[in-house]
Amino acid sequence: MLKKLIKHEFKATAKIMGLLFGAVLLLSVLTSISLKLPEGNKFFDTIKAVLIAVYVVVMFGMMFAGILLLIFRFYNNMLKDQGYLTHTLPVKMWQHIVAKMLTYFVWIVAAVVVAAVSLGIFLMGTGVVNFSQIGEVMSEIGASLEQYPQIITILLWILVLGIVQIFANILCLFASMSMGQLFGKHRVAGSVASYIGLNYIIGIFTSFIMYLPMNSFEGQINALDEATNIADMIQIFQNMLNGFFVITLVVELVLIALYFGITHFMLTRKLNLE
Amino acid sequence: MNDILLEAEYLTKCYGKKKALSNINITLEKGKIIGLLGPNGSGKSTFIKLCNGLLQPTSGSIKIVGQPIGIETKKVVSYLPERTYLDDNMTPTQLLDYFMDFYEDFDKERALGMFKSLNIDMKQRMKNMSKGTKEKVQLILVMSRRAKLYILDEPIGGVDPAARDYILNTIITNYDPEASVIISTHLISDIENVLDEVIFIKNGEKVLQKSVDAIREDEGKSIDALFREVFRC
Amino acid sequence: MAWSFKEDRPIYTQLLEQIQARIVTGQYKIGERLPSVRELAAEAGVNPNTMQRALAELERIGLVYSQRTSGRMITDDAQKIGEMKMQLAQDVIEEFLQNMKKLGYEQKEIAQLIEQYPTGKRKETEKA
Repeated sequence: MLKKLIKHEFKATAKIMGLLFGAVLLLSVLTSISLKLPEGNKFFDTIKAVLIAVYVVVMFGMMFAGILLLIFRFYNNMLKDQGYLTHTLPVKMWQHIVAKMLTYFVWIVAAVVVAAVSLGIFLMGTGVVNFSQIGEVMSEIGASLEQYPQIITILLWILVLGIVQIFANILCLFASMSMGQLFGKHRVAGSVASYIGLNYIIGIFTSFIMYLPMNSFEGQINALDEATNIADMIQIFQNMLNGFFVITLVVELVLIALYFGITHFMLTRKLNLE
Repeated sequence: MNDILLEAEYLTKCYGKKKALSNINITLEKGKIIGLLGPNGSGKSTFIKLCNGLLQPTSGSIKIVGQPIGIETKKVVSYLPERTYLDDNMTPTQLLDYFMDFYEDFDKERALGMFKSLNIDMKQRMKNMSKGTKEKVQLILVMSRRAKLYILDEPIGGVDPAARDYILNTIITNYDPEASVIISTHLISDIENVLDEVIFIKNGEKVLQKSVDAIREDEGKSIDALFREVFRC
Repeated sequence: MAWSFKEDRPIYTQLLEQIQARIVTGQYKIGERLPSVRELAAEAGVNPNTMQRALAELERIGLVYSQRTSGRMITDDAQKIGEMKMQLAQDVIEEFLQNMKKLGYEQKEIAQLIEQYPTGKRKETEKA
C-alpha cells in the first residue's frame, strides 16, 4: 500500500514539478547562450537582462515548489474534503505520512540537483567555468581528498545531516498543519501558530543542548594552536566537528520522531474534518 | 459468522461540552437496506463518521464485521460522503485507477458499465463537471465496490428526479444478500419504498428502529408521515 | 399497468395484490417465466427483500413455482388462475358492497342499481 500511495502522490505532482525542472534547465541553457552574444548592443542586452530575470524567478519558484506543493497536498488530502477519501482508504496512518514525506523529500532533493546542474550550465555561459577545466578541477579535488581522507568523512556527515534536516523540516510542517485541527474554525491560522510555536520551543531546547559540547571544545582549540601541519589541523577539526555532528544528528532524529508522533496522534485521535 | 454486520454499543460522541450522540445502541443485520433518518444536526453525520473512522468515539464502541473500526473495516465499508470529496484535478479514468489500486473489492466492469450508461466523459477533469455529474461519478465509484456495507450520506440530496431514480435503481440492482446499505437522508418519501427498516435519530438519541412494513402495518401510515409526527417542531 | 403504492398499507401486501392482478389479467402469461427478484424490485422501485417476500407468498399459494434453472415460473394451471381471478373479483365486490352499505343501501337495492347502472343513471338525470 505504501508503494501505491507513493505512486499516486508522484502522479499527482509530477506534471508541475517536471514542468518547472524543464523550464529551469531550458532557461539556463538560453541564458547561457545569450551571454555569448556580443556586448554593447541594446537589443541583445535587453534579451540578456530579461532572460536572467526570468531565470532567477523560475529558479526560486522551483526551489519553493516542492514545499508549497507539500503544504497544499497535505492540507487538501488529509485535512479538507479529500480527507473523506484519504482517511477511509484501507491504509495505515503511518503509511500516509511516510508516503507524503518520501515523495516531497525526493522532489526537494531533485530540485537541488536540477538547480546545481542549471547553475553549472549558466556558469559555463559566463565563461567562469568551461568543459576543459572541469576535468582538471575534478582531479585536483580527487587528489586532495586522497591526501586528507578525513574531509570525506566530514562531507558525508554534512550530507547525512542535510538529509535528516530535510525530513525534520517536512515533518514539522505536517505536525503544524495537523495541530491546526485543534483550533476549531481557525485551522489555517492555528497551523501557522503551531508552526511558529513549535519552532520557538524547539529552538530554545536545541540551543541549550547544542551548548553542551562547547566545554570540550576548549581543549581542542588549544591543541589547534600547537598543530604544525594541515593533517593534524584537519584531525583536530574533525574531532571537534564529530561531537557537534553526533549531537545534531541525535537532536534531529528526536525531532523527527516527535513531529511524526504529533502528526500521527492528531490525524488518528483528534481528526475532525469539517 | 452470524448475521450481525454492525454493532454499536453505548456509543457517545461529544464535541467539547455538546453531546452529538448519547449512548446509542444500534445493531444492523446483513442483507438490509436501512434508512438512517433524522433532521439536520440530529447526529446522523456523527454516527456515519464514527462508522468510517473519521471521528473517534468519546465512549462506547462500534464493530463492523466483528472488528473495531480500522483497516479491516475500511476494506469492507464503501462510503459516500455528503460532499464532493474527490481530487478535482483527476478524471474518471484516473479515479477508477485510484479506486482499483486501493480497494480489492472494486469491480471495474460494473463501474465502466455505469459510467457508460450515464454518458460520463472519462477524460474530463472533475473540476469541469457540473455538480450533478460529480455526484454521479462519486456514486458510481462507491457503488462499484463489492463491499459488505455501503454507507450513503445524503445520496439524493442535490440530484434531479431522473438521476434520483437511477441512484435508487443502482442500489436495488447492485443489491447483494450478504451486504447492507445505510442511507442517510431527510428526503424520506423518495426512498421509503426501497428500505427494509428505518432508524430515527433525534437529538443524538435513537428513538426508533423498526421494519418499514411493520410500521405501515402497526401505524397505518407511511414512514414519511410517521417521521413528521415524531419530529414535529 | 404501472406499479403504485398507497401510503397506509405495507408494501408487501400491495406487491402481492399487484402481481396477482398481473397474472390474472394475462400481463404475466400463463406458464411463462417471471422476471428475477432484482429486476422486479428495480422496476417497481421497491426493496428486493420485500419483493422476495411477496414472491415467496405467491409460491406458497401456488400461483408461481420455482425452477432450479430458470427462476420462477407462473403456474400453467389455468384453473388455479381462474380461481384466483374469482377470488380477486370477490374481494373487489366485498369492498364495493361495504362502501355502498356505508352510503345506506341494502344488498338488494345495490343489485338493482347495478342492473340498471348505465340506464338508471340516465333516468335519474332525466327526471331531474
